Amino acid sequence: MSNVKATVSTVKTPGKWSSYRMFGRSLPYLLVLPTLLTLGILVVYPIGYVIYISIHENYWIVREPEMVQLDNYRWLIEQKIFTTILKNTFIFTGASVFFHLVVGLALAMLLSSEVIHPRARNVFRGLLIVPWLFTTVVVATVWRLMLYPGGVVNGLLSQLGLMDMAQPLNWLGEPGLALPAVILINVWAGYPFSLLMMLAALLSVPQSLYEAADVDGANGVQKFIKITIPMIKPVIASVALLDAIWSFRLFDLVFLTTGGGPLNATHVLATYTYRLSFESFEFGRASALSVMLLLFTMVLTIFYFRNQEV
Amino acid sequence: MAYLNITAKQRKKAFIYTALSLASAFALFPVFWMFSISFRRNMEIFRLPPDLLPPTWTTEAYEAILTNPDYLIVFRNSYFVAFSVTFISLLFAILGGYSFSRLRVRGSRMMQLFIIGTQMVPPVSLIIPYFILAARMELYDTFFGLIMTYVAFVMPFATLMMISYFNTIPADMEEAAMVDGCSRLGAMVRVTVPMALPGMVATAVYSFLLAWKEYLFAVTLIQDPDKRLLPVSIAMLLGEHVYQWNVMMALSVLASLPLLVIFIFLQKYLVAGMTVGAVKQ
Repeated sequence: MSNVKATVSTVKTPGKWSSYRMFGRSLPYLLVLPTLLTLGILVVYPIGYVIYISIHENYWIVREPEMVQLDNYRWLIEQKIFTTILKNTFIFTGASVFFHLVVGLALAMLLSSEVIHPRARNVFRGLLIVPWLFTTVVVATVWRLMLYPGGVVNGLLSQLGLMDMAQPLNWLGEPGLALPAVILINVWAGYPFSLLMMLAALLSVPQSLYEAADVDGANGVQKFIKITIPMIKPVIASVALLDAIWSFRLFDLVFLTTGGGPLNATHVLATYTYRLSFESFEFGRASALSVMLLLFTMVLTIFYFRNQEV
Repeated sequence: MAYLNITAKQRKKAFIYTALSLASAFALFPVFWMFSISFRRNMEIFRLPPDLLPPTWTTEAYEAILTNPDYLIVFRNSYFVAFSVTFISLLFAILGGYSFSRLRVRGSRMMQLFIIGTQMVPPVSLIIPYFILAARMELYDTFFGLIMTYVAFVMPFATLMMISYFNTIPADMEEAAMVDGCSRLGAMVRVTVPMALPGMVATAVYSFLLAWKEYLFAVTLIQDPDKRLLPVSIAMLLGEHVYQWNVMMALSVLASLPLLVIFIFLQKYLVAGMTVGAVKQ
């Protein structure tokens, strides 16, 4: 017995500063290093840089740009188009979020109904998330083709007698119609996310609550308002906030369907930032607009974090 | 009474199936239309009343793409970039996710909040710094610059997905391996990581999709036609004077093929990737 003890005590334990010990201690940090480094270099540093550019006169184009404080911001706010862009962005975001929630919740309610066969539920769920798969560029191209004045949407509308083909609707080309049309496309492309989230939430509501309500003689509407909505409220809130963050910054769909036109009717913060950057090469002013977009997003993100904490 | 109940239930059932079928038709029509147009001759696209199916079936649009070396390069580029992004971000996410889930990292909560925070940053707001930095560091027009950009935008969500997946795997097995003489790293590589395979597939699917679909950075950071990616290539057809809708749709179909493969074979992981991290745990 004492022999064994002696053997154990002679095994050298690694010293406090031995390389093995150091490795073991820093391992957790070494493992997270690639992620933090990537995000630091490619997200945090560029954020600082864009703020720096935004307080300089036309950066990159001018050789030695002077610091101009908030002139770029002031210039933007004084532009007539600025109000239009903000209005469009808010309408686009608000309508997208609203319709995503309504469509998502309605379809999720249908899918979660107990009368539907589980296999049929899976098939329908699969079919209904198909729009989410497609590349935005493909979505934009297909819808442009469909919404063309001589395209299939107008064709079908005139077949149904809802429209005269002699005066076809120019969905993406008419100032009054373009924004609703782009919103429609975004609703089609984006509702699967809210559908899946709502479905997961609905299926997790304990069935016993509904049974208890049945005993009390509650009808469908009462059950919906008193049980369903309160139970899935946290999910509705996080879907709405995430969706708002994504819709607020949406670039490619708007850029590729209307390019911000006609007559700026669909220009949003993101597309106008791009236009100032790579069509007018106003890097300072475009950066100021970028910073504003960042600030709006930060506000939404704070709300999102608050909601997640509760 | 019982009889009445059955009919009420049947009526409800009929209503639900009808509503879901109509909704699916709305969801699928643009996809159907993309396929339908891609098999037509260009002159037969805008006929009235519209033909739902091609009046003359032809694969000339597909032939035009598949025999054109310029398009083949674009496909090669897109696959290369998407797979590189998937590989790098999966590797980083496994390492980071494992550490946050299993090991004691001081400031772990703050770091995780930071990671979620970076996920919210609008890509378009960083386009100017990226453009300038890429030009200064000679990363403009290189795949490396673009790939790392995508990795940065994939990382936050990929890391969160791996953290939450590692959290679902009990630590017992790994501890047993360590008792048997495995090092911490050895236990991680031999025991935990293989068990996390479903989480890895979900993360890989998410990363691949993001890199495959992205347009803004692909059009801003790459100019060389030999390095062009698919979304940019499709969008460029929209800028031409004569629209070749059938070619555009055929290219869109081909660009959607990997997504359809994911949809058919990996749908479970696709759904997992869409919802994880967003639902409150």
